[in-house]
Amino acid sequence: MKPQNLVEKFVKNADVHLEATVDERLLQRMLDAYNSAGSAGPARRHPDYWSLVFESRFVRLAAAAIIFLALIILIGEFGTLLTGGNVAWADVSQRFQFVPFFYVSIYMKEGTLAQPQQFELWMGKGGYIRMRVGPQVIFGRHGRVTHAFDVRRRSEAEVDPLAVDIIRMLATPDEFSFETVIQSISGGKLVDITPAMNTQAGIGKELVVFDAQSAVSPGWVRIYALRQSKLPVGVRIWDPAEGFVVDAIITYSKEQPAIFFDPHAFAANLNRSESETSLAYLFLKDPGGREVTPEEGPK
Amino acid sequence: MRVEDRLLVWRLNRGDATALSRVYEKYRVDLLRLALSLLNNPATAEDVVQDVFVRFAGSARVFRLTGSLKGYLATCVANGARNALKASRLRQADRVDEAMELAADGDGPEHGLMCSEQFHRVSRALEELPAEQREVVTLHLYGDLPFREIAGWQKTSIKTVQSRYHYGLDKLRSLLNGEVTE
Repeated sequence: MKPQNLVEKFVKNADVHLEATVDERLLQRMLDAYNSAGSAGPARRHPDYWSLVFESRFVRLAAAAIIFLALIILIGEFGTLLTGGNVAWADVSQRFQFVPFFYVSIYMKEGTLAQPQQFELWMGKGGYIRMRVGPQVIFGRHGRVTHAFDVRRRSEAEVDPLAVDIIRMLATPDEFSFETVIQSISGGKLVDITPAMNTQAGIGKELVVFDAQSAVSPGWVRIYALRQSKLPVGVRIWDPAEGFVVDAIITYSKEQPAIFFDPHAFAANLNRSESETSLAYLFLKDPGGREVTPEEGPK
Repeated sequence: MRVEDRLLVWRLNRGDATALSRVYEKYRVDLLRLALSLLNNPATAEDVVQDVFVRFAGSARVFRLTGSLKGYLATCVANGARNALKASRLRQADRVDEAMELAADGDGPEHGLMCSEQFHRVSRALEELPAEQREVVTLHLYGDLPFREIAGWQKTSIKTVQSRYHYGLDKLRSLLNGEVTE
């Protein structure tokens, strides 16, 4: 590491902290200030996750990713939205909660002809997470990023802020709930559109499709789940006005070995001769238990 | 712009007070370090940071986030520190070490700021820098402010700010000689 970077790191790591009682007092003062300002006038009451996505080009992809994650990862709250006879959603959510491992690949693009950006996420037992965002491989646990590596530079890296936010959100489902997202997008309406989607096809027997329609734009969120296993397998967020799309594919395969989530094992291999691809997927096993990196493939 | 910050502000705009604690938890340490580095007085630094958070909470329902939330809060802290210095409530003698000893003795029941040994060393080294360099280094490292915004705040050019930063870091490296290792 360069001397200047070492000084920056040393300065940034110099810690201070406040006594807990002071924290509590200050938080109470903040709350009082917030509440007293609220009594002076009404808060704005018309927010929408959809408008958040389209508020700024700079944040739209990242905001869409978070909406998406709220939709699939926090799917456990589906049941709270449902009243009456729509049992299917409750089943999907309950099933999803008991999945010990999954992998999701998310593609986002800004317009019809734009190139998609992709990021990948693996979740394992015990709160372990591994992500790949661009050239970064990021490790986290219980909502915190533990290590981030750049596979091009083959060194530790300053973590992509999007990954920090996503990993933290995964550990705080109470803050960014599915219910909040659906409420903000469609006023809480989640519609089973399977019959409309599949009037001619037998596929409707196996697939169930739900829509949440934006109240402020032609955009919608569509979620695909398997009828029998009751697992969500795909999500699409789409605004046809601009051709803005987020597509996600969810895979439930064999759980990855513990070493796959171990940043120290990864770091030990940083300077070996593997290609960038091999490094990005280091220790990843396919559902049959084989390594998936090119070095393992046919020569 | 941090997505989580945008979501937090969005929640605060719609009356969700629980987002306040997350904003506080997320940025209090960096803001305290920034204030302490600029003021060299724990009690005043804590007052400045508390004031910034309480003012933010008071305006959070109508707050419009146009850039980085951390950058906004850091600029507020830097302004508060400048005002505190201008008000001449600080004297050069109020150094971190002495004030920390007072705090350890239980003086000042309203305050509870504690520094690590590493922060003491950094703080002593930062004190040796000219004020403009210290501002640039701490605003950039603790406030995550880009040089462009620091230039606006210091009313100077980006090149000058970049020079101040590099000279500041060079001097810190020599002052912390032997302590900064990989």
